[in-house]
Amino acid sequence: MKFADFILPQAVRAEVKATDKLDVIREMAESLRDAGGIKNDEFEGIFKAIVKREELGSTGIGRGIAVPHTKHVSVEKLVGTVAVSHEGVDFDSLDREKVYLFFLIVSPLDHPSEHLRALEHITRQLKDDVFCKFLKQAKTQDDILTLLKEADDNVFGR
Amino acid sequence: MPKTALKRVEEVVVNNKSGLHARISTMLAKTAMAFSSQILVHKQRDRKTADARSVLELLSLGAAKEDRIRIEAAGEDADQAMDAILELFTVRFKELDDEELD
Repeated sequence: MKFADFILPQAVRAEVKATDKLDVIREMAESLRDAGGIKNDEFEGIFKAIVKREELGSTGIGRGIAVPHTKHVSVEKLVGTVAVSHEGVDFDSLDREKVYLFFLIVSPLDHPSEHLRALEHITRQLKDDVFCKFLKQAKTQDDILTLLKEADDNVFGR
Repeated sequence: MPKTALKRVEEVVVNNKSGLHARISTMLAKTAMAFSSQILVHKQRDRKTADARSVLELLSLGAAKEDRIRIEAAGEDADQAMDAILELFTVRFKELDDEELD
C-alpha cells in the first residue's frame, strides 16, 4: 500500500490551527469531509468514533507521531489525511511528548488487513528520521504532498 | 550473588483477526517496558524486526493473523518478560480484538 492509495491530497493540512487533541481530530475530520472522503451527514458519528477510540488508549505512539483512526460503516474504502502542527499538541502520547505529525484514517468495517497495511506503510516511512524531520518542517500542502510522493517512490524508509 | 543474564526465544502465531494493530501494539509495548530485558519481535514472513518497546516499530511490521512471530527476550528478567508476552499473544490480543472496537 502507498500513501497515494488512501491519502486525500485536498485534505492534507500543513499547519493545523487546533492546539488541543479534540480540536485537531475535529479539524482533520473536517478536512476529510471537505475533500469528499467522508459524508457530511456521517461527520459527527465518525468524529465521535475517533474520539471514543482515543479514550481506550491514545494513538499518540511516541516520537511526535499520532495515528487517530476508526472503522465506520459509511466508508467504502480506506481514506486518510495528514496534518502537521509546528507548535505540537498534547495528545496523551505513550512517551508524553507533544505530537507534531498526525495521520488520521477511517476504514470500512471488515477490512482489517487494509487498515493494518495503511498503518504499516505510515510507520515504515516514519521510522526514517529524514522523512520525519522534513515532514515536521513542511510549510505548505504541496510540501507534504511532495514528501508523501517521494516516500511512495521509496526515497525514504527501509 | 552475581545476576545471570538470560535469553529465551519462542515462536508464536498471531491469532487475533485484526493482527498487530495500534491498540494491540501499544499493549505489547507497555508490557515490554515493564521489564528490563531487551525484547525483539521478528516477523518471519519478510524477516522484519521490531523492538517491542516501540509502537512505531511494531506497527511497521504489519503483522497479520496467521503470521509467524519469533520473540527474543534477553536480560535478567527475560523469563518473566517472555511469560507476560506469550500471555498477550495467546490470550489477551484475541480477547481485545473480540471487543470489536479497533
